[in-house]
Amino acid sequence: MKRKVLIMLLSLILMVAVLAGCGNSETGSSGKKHLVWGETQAVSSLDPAVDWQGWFTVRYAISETLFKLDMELVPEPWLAESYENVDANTWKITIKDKVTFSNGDPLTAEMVVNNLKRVGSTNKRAAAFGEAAYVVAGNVITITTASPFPTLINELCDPYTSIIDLDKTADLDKAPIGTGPYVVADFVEKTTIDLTANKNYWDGTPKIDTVQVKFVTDTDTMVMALQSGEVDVAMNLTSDSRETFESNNDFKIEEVSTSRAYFLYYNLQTVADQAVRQAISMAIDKEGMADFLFDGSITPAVGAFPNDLAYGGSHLKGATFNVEEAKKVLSAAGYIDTDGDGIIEKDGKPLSVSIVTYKRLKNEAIVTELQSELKAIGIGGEVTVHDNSDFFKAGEFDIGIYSIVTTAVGDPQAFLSGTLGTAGVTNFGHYYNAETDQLLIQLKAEFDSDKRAQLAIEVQQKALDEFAFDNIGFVNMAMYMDANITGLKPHPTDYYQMNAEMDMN
Amino acid sequence: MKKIKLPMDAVHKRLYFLFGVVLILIVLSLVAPWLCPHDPNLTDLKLAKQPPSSEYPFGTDSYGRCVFSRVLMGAKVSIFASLALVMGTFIFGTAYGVVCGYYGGKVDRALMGVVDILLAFPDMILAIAVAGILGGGLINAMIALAVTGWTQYARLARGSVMAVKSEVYIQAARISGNSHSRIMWRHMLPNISGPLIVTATLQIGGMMMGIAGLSFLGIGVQIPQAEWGSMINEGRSLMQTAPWIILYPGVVMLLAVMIFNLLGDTVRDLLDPKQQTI
Repeated sequence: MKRKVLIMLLSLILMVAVLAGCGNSETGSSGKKHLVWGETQAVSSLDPAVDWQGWFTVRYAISETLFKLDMELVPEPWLAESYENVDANTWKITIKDKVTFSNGDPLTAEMVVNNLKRVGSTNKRAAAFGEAAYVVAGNVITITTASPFPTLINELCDPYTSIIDLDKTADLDKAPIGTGPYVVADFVEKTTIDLTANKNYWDGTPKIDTVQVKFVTDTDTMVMALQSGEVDVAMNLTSDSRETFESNNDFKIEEVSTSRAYFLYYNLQTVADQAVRQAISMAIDKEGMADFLFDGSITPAVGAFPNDLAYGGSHLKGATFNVEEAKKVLSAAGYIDTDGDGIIEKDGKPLSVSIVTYKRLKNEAIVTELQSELKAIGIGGEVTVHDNSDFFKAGEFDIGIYSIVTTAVGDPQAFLSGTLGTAGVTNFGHYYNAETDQLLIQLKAEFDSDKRAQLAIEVQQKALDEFAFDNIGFVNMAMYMDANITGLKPHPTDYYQMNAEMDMN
Repeated sequence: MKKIKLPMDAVHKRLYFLFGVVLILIVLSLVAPWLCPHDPNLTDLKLAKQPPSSEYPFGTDSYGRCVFSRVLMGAKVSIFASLALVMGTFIFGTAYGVVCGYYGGKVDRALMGVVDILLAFPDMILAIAVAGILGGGLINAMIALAVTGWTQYARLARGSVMAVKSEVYIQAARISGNSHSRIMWRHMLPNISGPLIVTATLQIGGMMMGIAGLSFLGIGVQIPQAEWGSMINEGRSLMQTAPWIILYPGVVMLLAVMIFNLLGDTVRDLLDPKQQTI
């Protein structure tokens, strides 16, 4: 009898413990709106001046920049009121006078200059800001650049030029004080970030009181978290989850086409035969991949930029998908399958290429499909998938797939110089064309936007004629969220996510 | 010719049956390339994510590849890789353990020290670390699993050898002038082999899971090689919309591991009746 009582007591305690653990914790007192934001990319610092961290500071509506890009990637005023391009090296920027930081302090022109000087010395990509001279008169800043900088205003849209209250911020990494509608309340590295609404926001009242950013690195776990209600918004889900949510009325999907490309590098030192590159480009079924592999979530591309832009794919001529023609190109160049094993040879050497990529978005899906497409024209493909993209610098690839945003600030120059310029930081294929280098120098100093577009088209077409690179397509970024959320829309730059208008009803 | 009478009691019947099934599995995986109705690596995007049909018995995956063909080819990888692994670790581990147990003393302490260090790490974690360092690929994954896999044979062999060292027949062998190696391999090994063979057979299933696990994590077989673990990984995100992609490799893997485990259990029942399960 005593034993039975003891066992019942223990089972009861166990049941209570299990149920207590299972219960959902209350996420806030009633009446307050709380949003849980699921994020796959974990952040360890929100200091916007360092590397690409600013993207998160702006996404989470903590900081803002002088100008922002609209849906057509054209700069429009944000913290700045207006600008004047006095001459090739001089710009005058007027700051809005009603702007305050989240701690109530007014935004001053001096603080703006301090931020620009800081990012100029901290971030290699912002070197031009470090080399410029600044003069402040009231709300007007006069910037004198070291050399002509036609894309100055575009660059002032880059999140690394976020304006932070450098004097009053105690912890730049964990709690930078910006002008945005949300403020960091707590930051647990790689786990959660708690944000509260900025009562002093200069541009309206944020509708949602608190937000928690939750890091869920695995996409499949994120899908289930959204379905179970653990998160209200899920970022970076792949098109595989589309079907699950499309037919479910409790959720909605907001989508936008971006300039994030699945870029294909040919290693021009190891795949030196242009005929081989041409054949490979002709064997890639971009439409098929877009429709079936990506369920419509990528837009096939020609060249480096989205079709509709003034310097985009609609103005260029690239390889057309045609497997039979591709085979003809190869046999005309002397590649024949002499031993009947399905792989073509030339001078006794079988044609085989290494297809390399890293784990990001759906890179692996692309290389799997590429390997099969190459086999269809007789080229052997050996696939390697790394954890990160460091292999590009080492040149350990014949064909490499890279995920990169090509018009980060609405202008083609940065990407083209970096990828097709001889000394470019992202010229992993070792592309060299003396004429291209000349055109890029012109592009760097050209102020007229039509002429800029012409130059960009010329540079891309030269490279495309040599089949020096390819582009599978541009990613459509999607935000998956509960159906009762409004005011959240993705942006082609992927800079702007949370905002003061977002609401849950 | 002496007529060999095969014992026919319940345990032996089970053994022959399971052995037969295993043989069929092995033969199937050998002839898999000829049995595949479609090329396992041929993609056809227009046919992606189709449910099972007469043309594609297990449906197609997200690239339009035949899941049935890939499961068959995966059998080859899984079964032969695990058999090779088990054989390799068994031979090496047993030899190591026998030497340790036989010589004892400093040799034993030094060599078993290595084993103790390796046993301090959880198997899978160390395998993941080694595979990660070596890079991907089936061979590297097998090396990674072999690094931890041999230690249990060493321990077992050593213990058995030590127990048997003081037996009368060993002393007799020593007195009659047998060399050390002759005593170890010709006299001791056959007598201690029972538990070792049981362990080896039971390990086959474990090694299959190990290879599948590493491939699932992306550090085993490389794209586009078909292997049950990597197929399960690829099908993960489509579990709700195209469940056949993950279902069939999963079920087949389950059955294969179960068959090998049952075989191992039966072998153990045979060689060590005291430990018999129902």
